[in-house]
Amino acid sequence: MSNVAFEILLVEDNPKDLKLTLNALSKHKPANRIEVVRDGEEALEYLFCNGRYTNRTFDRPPRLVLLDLKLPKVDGIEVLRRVKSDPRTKAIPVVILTGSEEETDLVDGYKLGVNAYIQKPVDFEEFRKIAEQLGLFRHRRAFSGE
Amino acid sequence: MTIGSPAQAFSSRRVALLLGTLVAALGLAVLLGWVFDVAGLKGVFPGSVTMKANTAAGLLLCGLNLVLVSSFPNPRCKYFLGCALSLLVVTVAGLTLSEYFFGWNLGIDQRLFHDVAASVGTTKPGRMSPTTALSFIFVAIGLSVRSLPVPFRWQRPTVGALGAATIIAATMTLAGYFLQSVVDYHLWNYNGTAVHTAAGFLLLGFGLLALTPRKQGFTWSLNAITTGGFAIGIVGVLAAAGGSNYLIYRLQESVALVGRTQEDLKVLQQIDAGMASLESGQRLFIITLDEQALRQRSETKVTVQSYLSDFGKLTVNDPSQRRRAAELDQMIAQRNSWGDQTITALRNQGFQVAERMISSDEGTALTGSIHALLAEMSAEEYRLLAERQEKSSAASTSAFLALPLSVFLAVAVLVLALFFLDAGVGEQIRAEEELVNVRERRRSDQNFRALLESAPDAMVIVDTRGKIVLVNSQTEKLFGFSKSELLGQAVETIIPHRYHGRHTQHRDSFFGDPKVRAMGLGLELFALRKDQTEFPVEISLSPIETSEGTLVSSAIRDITERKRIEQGIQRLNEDLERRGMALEALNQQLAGFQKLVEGVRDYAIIMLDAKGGIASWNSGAQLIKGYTAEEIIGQHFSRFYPPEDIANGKPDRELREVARLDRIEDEGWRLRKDGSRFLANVVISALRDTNGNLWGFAKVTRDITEQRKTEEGIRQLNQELKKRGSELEISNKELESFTYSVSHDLRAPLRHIDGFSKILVEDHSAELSEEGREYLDLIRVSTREMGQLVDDLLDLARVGRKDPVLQLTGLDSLANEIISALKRDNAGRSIEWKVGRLPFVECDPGLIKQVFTNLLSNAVKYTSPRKPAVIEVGTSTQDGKPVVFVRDNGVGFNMKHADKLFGVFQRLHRAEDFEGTGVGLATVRRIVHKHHGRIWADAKVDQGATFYFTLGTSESPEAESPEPGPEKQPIEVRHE
Repeated sequence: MSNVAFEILLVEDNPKDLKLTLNALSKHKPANRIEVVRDGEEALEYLFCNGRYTNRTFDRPPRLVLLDLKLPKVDGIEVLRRVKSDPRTKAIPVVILTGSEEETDLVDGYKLGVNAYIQKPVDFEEFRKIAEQLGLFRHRRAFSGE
Repeated sequence: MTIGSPAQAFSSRRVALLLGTLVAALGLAVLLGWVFDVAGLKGVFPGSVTMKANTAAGLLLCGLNLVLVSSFPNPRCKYFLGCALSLLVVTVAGLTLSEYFFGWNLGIDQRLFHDVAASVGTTKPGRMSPTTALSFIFVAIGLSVRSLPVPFRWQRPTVGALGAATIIAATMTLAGYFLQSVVDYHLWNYNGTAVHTAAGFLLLGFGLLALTPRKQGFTWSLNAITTGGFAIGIVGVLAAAGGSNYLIYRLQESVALVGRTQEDLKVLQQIDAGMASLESGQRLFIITLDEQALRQRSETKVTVQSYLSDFGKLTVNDPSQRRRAAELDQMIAQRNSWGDQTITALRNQGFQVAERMISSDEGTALTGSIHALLAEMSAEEYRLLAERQEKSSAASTSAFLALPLSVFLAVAVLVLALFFLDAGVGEQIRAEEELVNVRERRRSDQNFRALLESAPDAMVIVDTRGKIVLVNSQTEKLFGFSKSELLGQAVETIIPHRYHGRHTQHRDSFFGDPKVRAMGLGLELFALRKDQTEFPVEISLSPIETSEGTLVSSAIRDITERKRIEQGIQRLNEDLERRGMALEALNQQLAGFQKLVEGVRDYAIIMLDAKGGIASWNSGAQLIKGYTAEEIIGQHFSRFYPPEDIANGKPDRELREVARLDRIEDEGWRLRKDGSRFLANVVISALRDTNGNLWGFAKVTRDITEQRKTEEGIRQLNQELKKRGSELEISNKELESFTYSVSHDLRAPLRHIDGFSKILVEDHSAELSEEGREYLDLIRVSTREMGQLVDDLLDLARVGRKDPVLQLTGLDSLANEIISALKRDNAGRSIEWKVGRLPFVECDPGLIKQVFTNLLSNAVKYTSPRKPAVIEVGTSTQDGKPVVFVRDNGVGFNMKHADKLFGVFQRLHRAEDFEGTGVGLATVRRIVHKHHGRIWADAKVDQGATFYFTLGTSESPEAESPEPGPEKQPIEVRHE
């Protein structure tokens, strides 16, 4: 299956983690378009097309959101909750980046609607598997529906 | 025939035996007397009749026979032997008798020995007297009859009769001897029997009688046979008497005749003499012419004449002699006339004429013919005399023989008749007795019936077949049957059906051993009425012997009422017993309580009377308050109160309150005997009787001074502990969150180091030298190690924070999960997995999974040198509780260092040999302890190790907290 380039929103505050993640994701071409935001607030602005991102529209959401949990301003769980409870953004697949199993246990993300977990450092194979699972390589789904 | 009692028979036998022996001895002795010619044995008195040898032999044989017959046992051969003896005796005696009767001489008399003819008695020497012979016959026959193996009806009477006859004969002989010797009265010719012979027969006769013992004596009665017999006997006696008389008469006659003949002879001689005297007288006259002579002559003539007439009288019956007498008379008359003529001639014609007449032969011729005639007559007389003497002798013999014989026979027949009489009498008597019995029986029957009727209980008489033969009217009333309905019926008619089978059995067993008894001792008996209702009864049984057999008389009593009363009594008894038992139990309890109370040393338990006086005291009271029982009983309890309380009236107030509230509890100060105070916890209860009236108080006092102090101390301790506990908890929480955040925050830099070094390796290793690459590898390795350590520490912290969430888990599935993963991860190695059955336990599955993970991966790790590695998981039991174990055949460890096994960061192996953080087992232990279990290990160096753990045991886990508790028993502190 050909890797269709798609847009990923990466929400990560730690620069080193960010570097590692980007490195992992870019390992395998084609390069995906990766948008990076450094805190939860910005993530929300991005996804909800407000604040700094009023130019965005809901009909062109990112294909995937990679969400770190420990974020300044608004933490990951809150972002997740907001995204998954809003019909406009509900359909966007969200994958949580966890630092440890501990963290995974702490967060019952599934209840909140998270689609998958990836442990940091992100392993590309792992990422690819999940992406496949989430059907991200398929055609862009119509925004509305689901 | 009635047979005497065995004892009687026995003694009779003995008597017979004895007698037989005596007689035999007698016979033997006399025989010996004959052998050795001892006169004293042969004839007891000198010159008296001797016992003949045959007699002695006969006595011996009869004596032996008697012994034989009277002795036990009775084999056939005995009978035949006895008969042989008897036969011998009878033969000899019979032959002797026939000798007498027929005048034979068979030569048996002197067979054995020669007898002296001089011995008086029998006609022939050596011959036993007829009486003896007859007695022998009697005895011998009697013995044989007695010993007949087959008894017949007249046996005993016969034997008895014969014996009696013998006795009588012997007695008569002995009587004769007695009279002869004492009174010198010749009773009769005791027929030549020796005195000891008679004695012997006497004994034999008694011996025979002894063989016929009778229960009763002789009884008299009459019936046809016996009358006939008796009559015959009497006739016999009379005949015998008559016969004897006749014979005696004849004897007398013949003797008289002989005498007469002798008289005749004498007369003839006298006539002859007279004639001669006449002759000479005449001559004398002629010569002397003496008138005297003449006178003499005429006297003589007269005398001769009288003689002649005498003779004529004597020879009345003899015609030839009478003829001659007449002739003689004529001749004498002639002669006398010639004599007269001569004398006349002399007177008238003178002497010469007379002389011429005398010298003429006429006178002489006349005298001569007279002589001749006289001689003829004498000769005739002599002949007659001889003849008559002969006859007389024969008659004498006959009389001699027949007289006693006939008497004997008569007596024998008489006695026989007596016996038959007796026998027949017996019959008669029996018939009479029968009659009397029947009458008696009828009378007793009537009495019996009357008795039966009068009995207050129902009397039922039953025979051996179980049929009712008699009932009384009470039975009718009790059972509702009429007499006719019951008589002849089976007794089971009045017995409930369910007992029928058993009753038949019981009936039979009763008849098997009939004796008076109550029926069914101990059993509940029921009887059945006509209307088929049952009622309880009491039955007593007694056997009745009747001529028709054994009957059973049963007295049946209706005990319904009694039963009712009995039950009532029983209930009462049970009640009483229960009460008694209850009382006993109460007493026991009381005793127990008293002991209990007495023994209590920590509490003063005392009783007060209604006014507060002390009634009882226990050892605890003594210990606490200091008084002894003797000192304090009777005193008022207020003396335990401190003065201020007494002043307040507290004691009485308390009592009033108790009376009101029934129970009060108070804490306050009390006084001991020594005046010291103590803090007391006092409970006073009211004691009431069944009517609710207060009769006393129960007071329990506890010295709580110490306790109070202790309580205070504990409270303080608790508070401290609480504080410490919360402090600990806070610090624990801090520690945990510290651990958590440390671990967690440590992860990020690690992650980065690892990530970037990986990029270096992946993207930039070409730019590095080999050394550079090596160092880079080492960096990565270290990073990973640290990551592992952090993970383990995080694990440990996590485990410590949470309490296990218990659920019933199958350890099987947990273990197998991990084993599968391990198998996958260690596919290259040869590992033998042995998994036993693991139990289901209440546990936190996640945590226990960790346990298994740790233990099993350890096992895998430490068995790496082994090919194959053997890892076993299973359950064993220790102290009845399940223990899970993980066993491997790996390198093991030295048990010396076992205490370090579960310590954090403690390792017992070198890092280069086996990787590991040293945290895993600590975590495992934490988890196991959180489950209130135990974990321990057992190992040998190079021989593998086994790890055991239990979950949820009742044993308290080893204290993890290193903090030592207080010296005393730790008091449970509960977290709020």
